[in-house]
Amino acid sequence: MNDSFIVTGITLIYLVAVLWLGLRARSQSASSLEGYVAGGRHVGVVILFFILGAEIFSAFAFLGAPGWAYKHGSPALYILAYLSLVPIVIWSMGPRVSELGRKRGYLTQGDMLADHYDSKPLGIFAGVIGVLALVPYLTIQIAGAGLLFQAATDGLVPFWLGALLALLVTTAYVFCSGLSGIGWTNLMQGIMMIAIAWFLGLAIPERLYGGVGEMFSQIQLQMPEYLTMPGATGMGWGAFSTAILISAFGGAMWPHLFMKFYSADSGRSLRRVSVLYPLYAYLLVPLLFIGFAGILAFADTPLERPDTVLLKLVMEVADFPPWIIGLMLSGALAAAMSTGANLAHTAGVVLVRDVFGATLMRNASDATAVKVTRWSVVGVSLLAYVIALLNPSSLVMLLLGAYGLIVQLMPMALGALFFRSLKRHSVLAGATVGSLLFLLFQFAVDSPFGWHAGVWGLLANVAVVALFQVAVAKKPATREAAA
Amino acid sequence: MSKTYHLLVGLHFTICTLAMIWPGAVIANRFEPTVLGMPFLMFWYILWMAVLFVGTWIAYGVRHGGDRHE
Repeated sequence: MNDSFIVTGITLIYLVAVLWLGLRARSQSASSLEGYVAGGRHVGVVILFFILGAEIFSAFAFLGAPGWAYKHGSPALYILAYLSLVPIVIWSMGPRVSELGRKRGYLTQGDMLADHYDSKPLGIFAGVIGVLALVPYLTIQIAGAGLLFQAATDGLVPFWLGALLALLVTTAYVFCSGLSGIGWTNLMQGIMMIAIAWFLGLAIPERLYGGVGEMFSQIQLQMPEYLTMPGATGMGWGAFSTAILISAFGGAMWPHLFMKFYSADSGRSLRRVSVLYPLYAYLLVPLLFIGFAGILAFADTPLERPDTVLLKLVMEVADFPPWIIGLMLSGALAAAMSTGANLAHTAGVVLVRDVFGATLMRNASDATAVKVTRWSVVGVSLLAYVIALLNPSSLVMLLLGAYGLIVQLMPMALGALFFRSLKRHSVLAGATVGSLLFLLFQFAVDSPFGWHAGVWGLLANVAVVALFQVAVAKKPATREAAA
Repeated sequence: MSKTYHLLVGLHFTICTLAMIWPGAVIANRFEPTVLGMPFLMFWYILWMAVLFVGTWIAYGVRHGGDRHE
């Protein structure tokens, strides 16, 4: 019981520090919409690096990555691979998005699509899918925070209270400071996450096996299938490779990532971020060690939920003092909260800008828009909290489904950015066919060759766009011939 | 920027991507030799992350190296 108080105390200190930093970041620019949403388009390279990093390093990275290594073994390397490949997208797409946004005043994906294809419904559609994907994702972060609190404090802080604490802190600074609040807190949380992950990743193998090398040697002796592909669960190269490709290149279509391109102070900063980005991916290496450490530790009594492997090792096996458990809890909360803040901010903005802005609030002033956006962040966060309490099992399905649909916006976005001759009808037809095929392979039929369903959707999507483009290109020619 | 530059950057990105998926990663699919205590397959990813970092850094330096103001 005494230990739980120490754990809770350390974590509360962390929460207060984040809150203080987040509220302090409130800048003069947060009163305009551009300032609140995109930091006045003046976000420099250091803060941008941590914002983009924290978006990817969610509760999933902290709990899910060790879970994958524990359950599957080597296929968990897909996480390292896709994170390292994300900078390729930032490098090639980011500066162009940033430039167009500056020139034409875009703040969301919907802005760009609606303007380029001259179709308001398209912008609303992109906004609705975005919110549908972001809310379950946010719910997972909030639920993750609640579960962590409950487990690490032995129930002293129950699920509902832990989730509420994390939610209140993030909502407070996102409400007041907008993107600059997110930036400064992500900087602090990012450094914390890296320090704690490396400490635990090296300390756990040391305590259990006497070192990382010794740990892998023992796994190789007893369960070698974990250390090479296809791993313990038989993930094929096709599934592995397509999962990497779709996560790395489709991931840029997530509104919360895409919209950060608008906030960059220059294309050059975005390029510099993509140079540094693989360094952030190294954070995950020690988290994978932790997962591998669980393979032999729980060989006799496999864990029911693989993503609890980090918690179980720290709390039950490694026998760390309570202050280390407190630090672990703070680090994991940092992962959940830094992503959660981004998601709530983005969902709030997209909802107001793309959905309300194009319908109910067509003539709203800048000041009104900021006010409504702020309350929309609060509304979205509360909604996610209520869903987390109800905990419907269909949440992951909704997330997967909406994410697959977001990826299908890719050819459309590339059309607006680079291939400006693509016609509205072509990209609409492509997105429709791609989405339907994705839904079919994700939920109804087994995907051919075990490939990621999103890849099939995207291939069909591109094929249909190409077909329509060829058909459109031919039409005027035949007309001329007839005349 | 010249065509050669874009071609080289594209090639760098393509090679790094192919090294991390099929078929590149297939050749590294073994335990021995271990590097820094890690299985070779895991080290392979650590290595290519570094290659990606260094190559992109060079590409950045060539393009933006001189200009302090944009």
